[in-house]
Amino acid sequence: MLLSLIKRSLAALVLLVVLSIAGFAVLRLMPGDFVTVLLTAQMDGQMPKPEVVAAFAHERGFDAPLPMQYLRWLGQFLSGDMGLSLTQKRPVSQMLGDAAWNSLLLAATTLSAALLVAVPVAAISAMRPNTLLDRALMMFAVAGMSVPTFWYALLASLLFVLYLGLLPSSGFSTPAHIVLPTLVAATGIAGLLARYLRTILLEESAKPYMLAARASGCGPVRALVQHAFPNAMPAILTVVGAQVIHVFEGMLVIETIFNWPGMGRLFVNALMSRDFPVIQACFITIGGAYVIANLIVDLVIAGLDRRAYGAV
Amino acid sequence: MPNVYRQGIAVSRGGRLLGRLGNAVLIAMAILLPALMIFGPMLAPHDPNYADVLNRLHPPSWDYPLGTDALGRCLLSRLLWGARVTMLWSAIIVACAAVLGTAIGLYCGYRRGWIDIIVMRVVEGVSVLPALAIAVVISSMLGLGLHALVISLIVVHWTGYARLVRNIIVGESARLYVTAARAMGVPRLRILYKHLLPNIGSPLIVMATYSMSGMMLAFAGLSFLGLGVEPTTPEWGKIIADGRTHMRTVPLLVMAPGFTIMTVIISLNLIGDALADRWRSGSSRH
Repeated sequence: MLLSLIKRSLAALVLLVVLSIAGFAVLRLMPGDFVTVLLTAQMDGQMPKPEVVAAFAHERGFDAPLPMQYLRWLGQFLSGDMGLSLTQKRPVSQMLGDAAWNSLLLAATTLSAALLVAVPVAAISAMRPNTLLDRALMMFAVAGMSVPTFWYALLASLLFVLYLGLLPSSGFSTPAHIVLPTLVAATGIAGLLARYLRTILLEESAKPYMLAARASGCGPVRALVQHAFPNAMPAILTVVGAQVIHVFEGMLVIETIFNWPGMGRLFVNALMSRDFPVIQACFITIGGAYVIANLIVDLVIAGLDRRAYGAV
Repeated sequence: MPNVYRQGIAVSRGGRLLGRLGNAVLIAMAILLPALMIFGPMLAPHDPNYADVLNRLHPPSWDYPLGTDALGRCLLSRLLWGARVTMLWSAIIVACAAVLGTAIGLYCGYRRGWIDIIVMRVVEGVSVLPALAIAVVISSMLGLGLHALVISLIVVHWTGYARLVRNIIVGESARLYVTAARAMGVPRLRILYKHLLPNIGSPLIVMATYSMSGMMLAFAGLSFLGLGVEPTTPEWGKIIADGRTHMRTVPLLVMAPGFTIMTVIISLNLIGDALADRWRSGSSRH
């Protein structure tokens, strides 16, 4: 048990190292000579002289062997020095800090909203499988996960902002601003989750202990809540954990459309303007968050499920 | 063990009829979508990039069945050409990833050993990372544009297929019929092709159907953001992005491409469901 947890953590650590090497490579492999590009950005687009480039490279240690450069860069990166943005001339860490929190906030509301819809829908569907109600709910779920987010975002803003005038469209200033992005981001995830959870609950309710619970006088809802859900928790958490990926992929589009100042928008803008230091920092932050989120999910599952003790 | 909850009557006459009707629609879509992908542009009434400047934002008419966009380009023609861009490129990406992943999975499942261990570790690692983020970073290093995007999406997409195929091959290799074939002296490569390979067909098709719909959403989404195709290419996500500025006055510019994408995605997801259902109940393996 402890051994497998240590193994898991070590694997995550290895993955983080690989991720950081890949992130390091982003800046070194970008089109054009890396030092020249950095200097050109700092000198307002003037091409620096070769002597200046060489002096700058020597001063910053960019002429050292790559492994040495990597270690130095890693140290700086971890202590918060992520370089300067090529386009905005601000420290990348400063840009990243606010964006990360804003994205985390949006991701939290999105995941909660999705679960708030998906869990009851899945429970109702699983309690009345193959009925018209079940079919209708699952049809909605497929529609929800099939709608292109960017189009849905436009429709939602057309309806709620332009026609009904109920909600503010884009920006960040009031709490009401989070409603539309959450609604749009949560729909697809809710659809996916409802389908997965229904399957899990159906499998669970076909097990002997459920029959025993029902035979001993447990009501249908109580059997589901008290028996099926706790037993299915590891499977449910695995599925929900995997959805974190979809939450982020939605963020790229949704934050851009609703002008939400988070990682997704920062990332897209950096990609469009080829702002490689920002791309690098976003890439590593997002990837690192994934690896850590996955590790946490794994550990929680291992803690919950006694059957998985040997199999983590 | 029966389900403890009351089952709906799945096989009532009405239900069966509805099910048949649904299947007929899905089969029709399964034929129509590839046909549209290949022959769609031939049905287009106009050149998708011909700008009729005098008839900008023209309402639907005989000449322009869905009207024209802000530059005076025929919306229907753009949608029909877009079928070839969005669907065909997504299909190409999925097909390349599937072939690459299958080849790697076959090799790993067949040879096992240290190569298998390393490759599966890589696959596991990649599956924890945000594929779309990696894809856009790779594509930005390659200089953006259609080909950069296609290559980078293939690079991040093969791993799921490799794992699927490898696990099936490993699982099947342990079964009695393989032992029997080996005992009769069938060469190993022949066992791989004649006995093991047929097992991967249906799971592979189900996976490809689902990933096709996901790929189209990703492809159209990235093009919408401007990270995909070149500005003039009639790509579905790009058409929506173009129509966005006139969305309030001419909603059709956004509605038509949106419903097109959604119809295709829903069809693909339902076809995937139907195939998965059929093959799960039809085979004794699961």
